[in-house]
Amino acid sequence: MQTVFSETITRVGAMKTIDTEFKREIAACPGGEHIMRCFACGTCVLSCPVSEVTADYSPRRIIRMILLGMKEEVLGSEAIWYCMSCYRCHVRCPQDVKYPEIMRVLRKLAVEQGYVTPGFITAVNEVDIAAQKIRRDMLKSILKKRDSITKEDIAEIRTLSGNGARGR
Amino acid sequence: MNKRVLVIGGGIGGVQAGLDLAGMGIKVTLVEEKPNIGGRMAQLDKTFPTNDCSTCILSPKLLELASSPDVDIYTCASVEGIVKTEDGFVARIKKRARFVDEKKCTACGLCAQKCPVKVPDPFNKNITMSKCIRIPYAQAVPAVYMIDREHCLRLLEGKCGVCEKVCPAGAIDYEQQDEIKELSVGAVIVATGAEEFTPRIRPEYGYGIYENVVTSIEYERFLSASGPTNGHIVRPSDQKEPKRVAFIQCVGSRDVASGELGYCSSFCCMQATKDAVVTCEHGPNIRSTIFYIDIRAYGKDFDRFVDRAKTEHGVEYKRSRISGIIESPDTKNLVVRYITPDGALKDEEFDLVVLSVGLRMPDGLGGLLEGIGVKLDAYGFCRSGAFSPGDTGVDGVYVCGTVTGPMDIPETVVSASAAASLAARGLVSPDREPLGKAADRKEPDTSGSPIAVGVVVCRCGTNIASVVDVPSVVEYAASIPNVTFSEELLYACSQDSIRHIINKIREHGLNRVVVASCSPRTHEALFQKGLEQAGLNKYLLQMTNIRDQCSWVHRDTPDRATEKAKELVRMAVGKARHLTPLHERYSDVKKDCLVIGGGLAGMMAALDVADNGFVVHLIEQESFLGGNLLKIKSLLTGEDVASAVERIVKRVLEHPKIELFLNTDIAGIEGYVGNFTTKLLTGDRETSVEHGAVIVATGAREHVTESYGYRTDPYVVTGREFETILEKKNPLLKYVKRIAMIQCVDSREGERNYCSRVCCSQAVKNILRLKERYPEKTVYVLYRDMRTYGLREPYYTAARETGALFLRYDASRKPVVEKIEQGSFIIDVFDKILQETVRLPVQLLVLGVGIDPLDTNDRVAKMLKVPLTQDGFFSEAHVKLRPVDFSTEGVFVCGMAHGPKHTDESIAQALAAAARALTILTRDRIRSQAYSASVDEALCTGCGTCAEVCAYGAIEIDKEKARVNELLCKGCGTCTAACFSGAIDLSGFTNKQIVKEFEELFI
Repeated sequence: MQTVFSETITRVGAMKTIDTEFKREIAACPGGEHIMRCFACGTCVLSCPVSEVTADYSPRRIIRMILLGMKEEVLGSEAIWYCMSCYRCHVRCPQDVKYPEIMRVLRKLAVEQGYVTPGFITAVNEVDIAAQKIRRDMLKSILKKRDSITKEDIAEIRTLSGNGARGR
Repeated sequence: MNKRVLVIGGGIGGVQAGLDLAGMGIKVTLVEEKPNIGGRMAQLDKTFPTNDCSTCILSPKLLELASSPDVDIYTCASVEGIVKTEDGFVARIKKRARFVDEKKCTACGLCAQKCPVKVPDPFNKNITMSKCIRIPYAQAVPAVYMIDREHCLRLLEGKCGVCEKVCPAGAIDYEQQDEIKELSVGAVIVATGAEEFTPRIRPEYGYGIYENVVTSIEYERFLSASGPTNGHIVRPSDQKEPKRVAFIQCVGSRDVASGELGYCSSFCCMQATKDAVVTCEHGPNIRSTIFYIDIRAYGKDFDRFVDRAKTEHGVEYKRSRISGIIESPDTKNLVVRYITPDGALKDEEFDLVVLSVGLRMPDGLGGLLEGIGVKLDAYGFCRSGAFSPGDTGVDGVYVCGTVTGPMDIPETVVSASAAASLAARGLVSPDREPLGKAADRKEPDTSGSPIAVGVVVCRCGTNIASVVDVPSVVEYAASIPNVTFSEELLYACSQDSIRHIINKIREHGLNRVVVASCSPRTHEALFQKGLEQAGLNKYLLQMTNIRDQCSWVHRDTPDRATEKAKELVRMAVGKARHLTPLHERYSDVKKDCLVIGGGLAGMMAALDVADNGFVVHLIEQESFLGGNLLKIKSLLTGEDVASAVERIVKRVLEHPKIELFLNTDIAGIEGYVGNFTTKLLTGDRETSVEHGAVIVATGAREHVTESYGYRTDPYVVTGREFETILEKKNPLLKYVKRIAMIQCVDSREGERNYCSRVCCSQAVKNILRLKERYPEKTVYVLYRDMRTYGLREPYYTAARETGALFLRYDASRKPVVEKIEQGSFIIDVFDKILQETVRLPVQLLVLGVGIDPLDTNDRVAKMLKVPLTQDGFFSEAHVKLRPVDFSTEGVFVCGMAHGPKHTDESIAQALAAAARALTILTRDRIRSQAYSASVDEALCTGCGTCAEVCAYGAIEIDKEKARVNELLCKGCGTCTAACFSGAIDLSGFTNKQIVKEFEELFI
């Protein structure tokens, strides 16, 4: 399954690959309608819990790639699977761009156009559920000792989650 | 026809409209909801881009309005309803009780001192407490206290009554009732303004939850010397001075998602820049950071102001719209996360965050306006058509200021003057009472009595007093010979202070007054009026500037500043001893107006003056009228230009009061306000016209570029040329599939370091027109900042929605165009979002080249003795409050001669210039100034040096003696300095006075 991934989310393809109709294709789908309003202010990136832990993940960049018509790169990228649909970017976007819904549209297109198998979406959904379970279990273990929780405990949890970032 | 005009709203818009109408001899009733006039401008600390003190430049206008015999001001009042009648309107005005008699109150302030009830102070945005009986601020006009009926113990519970007991004037009246008054008027000007919106619509910024998050208007109060912290910046949580201040732009503006505020509020970028600069000036350790989407420095000298903020004050600009703010619970500091230029996320901690809130229409205004048939737009603004600014669609009802859309102060002032000129139509009377009664008044002869100098030292809030030890200056002044009285005042310019000075003049028999405060440029007239009212000749006043030239520049050495202030006062007294009474002269006004330039602004100004019944001589160099407008096809807002131009030109050609001179040049202009003679050259025929005022509407031109291969390839065109291609359905459009628009070509850098204001909107307009017919074409816009300010922003949104892609570039990394062949280019542009260079294949380049001043501006400026800006546009008298005046009286400017601007803005400015010209043309006589050079014929050798150096042509050599035309003399003093034999002297600045002034310095 890994072979269908392209590792090109940070590489701009030569313009021969552009598909200027790609943005309209997405805008025509439910949830994609405001994509062209994006003025690249970056609010989405700053709201995104995934960007917080993944330095090169940027919703703004995905939108820009779509608007530029970099269809193959976008549909083949790992990035479109990263969104965890928290909708914070959408709530804060001043232009009402519905990024999580655009990701849903992209995932559907990726399946339809053979970038991933249909089973992949099921797998991603399962990952999401498993991740929620892990989160809940970790929380439970902290909550158990909430009266005696120390700075060291928090540091340990941070180490477990692999970074020192704070929730926003 | 009823000759009174109702002005609703007493902010700077309403005040300017009132002043212009009164200046034309029209009676005005101004209704203001608040207890004082001045509006939001009175709450601001300083104004950009000159950092003038807002109150200081506003106060003289407020006092001028309040003292005008033609103006009635109703404060604490609102218009409840307006009904159309046969010859105008009847307005129902509700005047709410102040519980203080306006005629009796002297604003001494005893009542507030003794009042036991503390309430949040609305003028200070409820940051501090004030008393239940109060005056909003020291310079408030009218200077009358008011009881807050919601909190007064006497009114609510029948207890207390302290204010009545302590008021020495007997002004307190608990029985005062609200009054309803019906007023018949001939026209109505709506200048009700807009309100700042609450940042709570974006809860992620924590306003109202985090103590150290404040709005930009609250912050203005912190910065103001008369504000809750006396001008010290402190953060609300711990009253400590913040070291790191963040400004977050576009809170609510450009935000279609929250509350449908899809427009730009147009002034906040510059307000934040100004506040950031002022913040940095407060101390070497304070840092300011501005987070923004685009910096909209579209006005005159704004880009330079931003550059100075960066380079001279260290203000940091970070292009990143902020998503949310997090407070550290222990320190109450605020963490702001932003995106760095290379795309990384960074957290930065600040002590204080300022949210730049924009403007929205207040709820509830609609009812009044819609009741008389005025239509509002989707945002609730009362927007006029681009070709009829100020118009509401209802005859006799006009609008100005932010009620028509978000705008800054100068645009508000322009629109107010424009509305005044519209409202004046049919009301201007040619036979108005001439000025000059004051001159006939007998002044007491003080020449024989001993010299008695009074010295007033102004604290200017904290502007002076925080540096200069004012009490010691007052004490010192008392010891100077001939000084019989000296004292300090918090604000010498406030209404009650002026009254106080008048009383002291009478009480102590003063016959010279020295005011040690700010600049005579802004305040001399005010204090002179006070002297007049006290019965003294107003030229017995001497001002000395211990603020701009002392406290402001010697902030770090207060002791030495105090010494300097004492010396300045001593010198002023030295001169004051030798002051003599002077008298102004009067001259008749010629009733015609000269308008230079037959473009849009010139035609509109000419029509407006002519419609008000005055003859206009309209001069155009070319053989046709219309100017730049002939090359524009449609406006952003959709109006068809060709039919509008045709209509306007036709009206000009047919107007019986307009005398048109085509193919005509100006050979020379002589004279002065009210009395000009201009020589015109049509071919080789010379004519001359006489007129009382001049309106400069010479326009500007599209910049000619050599960048990006323009003129070497037919597929490289300017934005304006592209308009024509679109309009003419040029076959080229069939071939071209991909288009790139490159903005800011040769602009905002180097020699042309200014923004041409219109090119962003032009690109947006072209996209919208293109996409109407060819939705499939690809458009890239390469820009530096999109400056679709104000209500132009929704069109930018619409342009993006068509699929046009806007890519930003930095001036240091411009797009590189490679020409493959004719009509085929590859553009390499570094995309900040992808952090990589993108290659764009396009077939047509459209360049946003901007606007250049005319080369001939220099010649015209010299003839009229008016200045040009560094960039070569005409320089108005004051960027904020005198946007169409020149410092040379009787000469006005409008349109692109003043600077790049949109069609609607040019027209508004044309109407404003006409209104200002009408304030002169409607007079029969005009007063000229008293300072004038005079020649001692016994000493004059007739060498002619004085005549050579005089810039105003006021001196002639007649029978080997110099002769001064006192009406032309501006009192500049050049001739006295140049005269070899000391034969010329200047009244008010005589050699003796100046020598005596300087002698004091060397005692």
